[in-house]
Amino acid sequence: MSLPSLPSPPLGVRYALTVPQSVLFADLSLRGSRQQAFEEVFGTAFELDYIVIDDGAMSWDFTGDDGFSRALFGDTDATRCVRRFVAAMGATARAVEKASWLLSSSDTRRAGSVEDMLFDLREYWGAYERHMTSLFTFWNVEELLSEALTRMLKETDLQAEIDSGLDRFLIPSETNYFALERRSLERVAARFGGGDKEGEAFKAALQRHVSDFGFLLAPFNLGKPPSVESLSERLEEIPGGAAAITLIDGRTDLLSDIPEPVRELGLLAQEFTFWKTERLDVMSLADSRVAHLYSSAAEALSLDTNQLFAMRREEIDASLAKGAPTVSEEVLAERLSGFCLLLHGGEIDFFEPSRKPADSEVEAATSTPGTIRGTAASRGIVSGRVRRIMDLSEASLLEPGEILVTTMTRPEMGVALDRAAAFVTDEGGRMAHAAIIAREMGKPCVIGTGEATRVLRDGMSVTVDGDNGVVTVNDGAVA
Amino acid sequence: MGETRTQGPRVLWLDDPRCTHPEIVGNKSATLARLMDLGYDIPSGLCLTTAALSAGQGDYEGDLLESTRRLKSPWVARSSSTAEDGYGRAFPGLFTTVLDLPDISSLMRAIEKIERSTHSEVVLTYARKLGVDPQTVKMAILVQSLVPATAAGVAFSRDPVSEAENVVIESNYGLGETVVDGSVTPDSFTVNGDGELIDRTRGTKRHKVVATTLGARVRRVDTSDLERSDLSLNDEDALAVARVTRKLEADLGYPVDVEWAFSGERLYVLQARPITTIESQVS
Repeated sequence: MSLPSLPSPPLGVRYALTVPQSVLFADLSLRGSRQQAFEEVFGTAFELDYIVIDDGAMSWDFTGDDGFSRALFGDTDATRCVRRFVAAMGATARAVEKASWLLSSSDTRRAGSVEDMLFDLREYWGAYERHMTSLFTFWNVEELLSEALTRMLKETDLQAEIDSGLDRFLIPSETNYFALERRSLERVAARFGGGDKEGEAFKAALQRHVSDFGFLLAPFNLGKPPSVESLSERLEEIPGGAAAITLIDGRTDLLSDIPEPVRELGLLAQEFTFWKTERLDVMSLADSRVAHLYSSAAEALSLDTNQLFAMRREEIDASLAKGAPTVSEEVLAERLSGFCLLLHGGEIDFFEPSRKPADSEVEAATSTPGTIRGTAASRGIVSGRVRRIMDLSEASLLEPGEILVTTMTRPEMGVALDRAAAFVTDEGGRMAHAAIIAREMGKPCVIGTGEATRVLRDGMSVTVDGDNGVVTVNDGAVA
Repeated sequence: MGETRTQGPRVLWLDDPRCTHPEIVGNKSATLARLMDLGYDIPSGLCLTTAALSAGQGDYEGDLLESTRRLKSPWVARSSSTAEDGYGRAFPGLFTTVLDLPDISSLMRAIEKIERSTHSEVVLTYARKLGVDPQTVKMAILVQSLVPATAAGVAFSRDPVSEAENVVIESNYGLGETVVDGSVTPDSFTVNGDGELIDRTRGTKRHKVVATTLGARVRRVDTSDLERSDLSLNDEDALAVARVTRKLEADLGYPVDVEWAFSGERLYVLQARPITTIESQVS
């Protein structure tokens, strides 16, 4: 694999595209996992139950199970499935690479009007979404492959290969990620190992490394571009005379001495690993190539690029069409501090943390004043003064005979659990920690009230009825 | 210098017959090994034995490294001591479970953390209170493949409060940790002795813990409005959990407290122990 040299995007925004928690890229990723995208890339009508992108990390209902693999591959044999997948992944990666390459030269094509910019962005977004789809299927394919390999190796009695953990065939992609970059840095280390690390030649070598691979390194530095200094630090960690990093390059000459049919599957595994890592390279490369598009779009809307990335695709689209941001600055600022996107049933919902429905308000309405209801989790009736423990450090404040009121009990509350006459919690069920401990200790417990810590105050006198799951306030006055 | 090497295997696969001995692998692993042998769906795993832990990390590291290569990651490490999970002493939450271990170095750190937890002040206090001599407690650790659960929770073969002979199930989306630690109010189901679902109660379940594959692999996320307005188990699945729970009680010979997890259509048993507050008697 060889990386083409980069066009120079405008200074300062080159790495901005990889900011963690970008709403835009989260949005694009989710779109790439909708049924339509699956159909386009894999020709399969598959729908993921849900995906959540929260605080920059992605969660989805990936179960590694047969259902997912079956939906994607049907009942065809592993070799054909993986081959099909690898082909689709290669095609989508190339589509993104091509789209970004074409777009990177669009500023010379014409001094972009907003319409052109929008057209280009739509083109890129389309490619990006198709590309992202393959993300969700890696893990299933990997599992399929390694299962098939293990089975075949057992049949062919290549015990040694099994013992070596199949590494020879299925190199974990972590070790292959950015191998080209790491190898290049090793070369710098080898060249300047014992020698002059102050000289111009050394600095020039590092500078070249930054310009060749900076786009790859940025995401792992949380969006900060690498510098001569940060590279010097990494160089210190490279041991002298280290073996060259194995590079999975998609070539097929490494496995010539392995018998069929294991060989074929091994080759496929090698190719799969290559595409899996190549995809990341391409994505970073494409991001850096179209950076100028995003910075012009931000400029046209009088926003900085971070604000732009806090918008969804359709919001940017609408804003550019209108000529002004359709999302207020306050909302953008909120999103920059955290957001949550949920894909469910093909629809994407957007949650801003500060705008979540307040459960407590809803629940407050269902409870009569003076009485709190929850689940009866441990029997017995006892009265005492309330002690709210909202933080572990407050646990020691609880006096013997007081009623422990907390969100959920924790084992670390030790002494407080011992001394309390009863437990009342906001959350939990009859099989939760608090309930089990209460029954073992023979103390009344009302669990999952939803509101105890909000309604009850330190010093209130209450009666905890663990038979009926009711807490009654006897005396609202704070002692 | 005298030979001080502790005798016995360091690492055993859960399906190894020796794993059914609590003094070798601790109570939790021994029960799971027995259940695996009986044909229950138990996530595959490795037992780091009591001998290994008393010999120290340098002694078992090689064996562990070798074996974990054949165990699908990410892993979960759970304590499996000779004190936990007996009648009258669940030690709930006191010994640690570490959920999300993608590689050997994080596994090693988790093992150290679990070992330290045995000596924590909280555990010692609790042990004394229950009349267990902390000196006699032997530690072992169970390392299993993480089950990326779609729904999970706890089931009791008897109602733990009324002691009625109903199976009571608590359930949430994702992994079962939210039900165990009490950080959400889960859905609850009751199945009577005739196998009829006699109660379903929807919990608020504001969060769930899900397995992810990017960055942090296990994450706590808010549930959606749609999820909150629905039950995390359908009737058919709730009845399946109840059947397994009943069968566990029959096979183990005591009322059981079960941690279960659905991954796709498969129902896994993650843990089974006596209900600590109900005397052992099976009708």
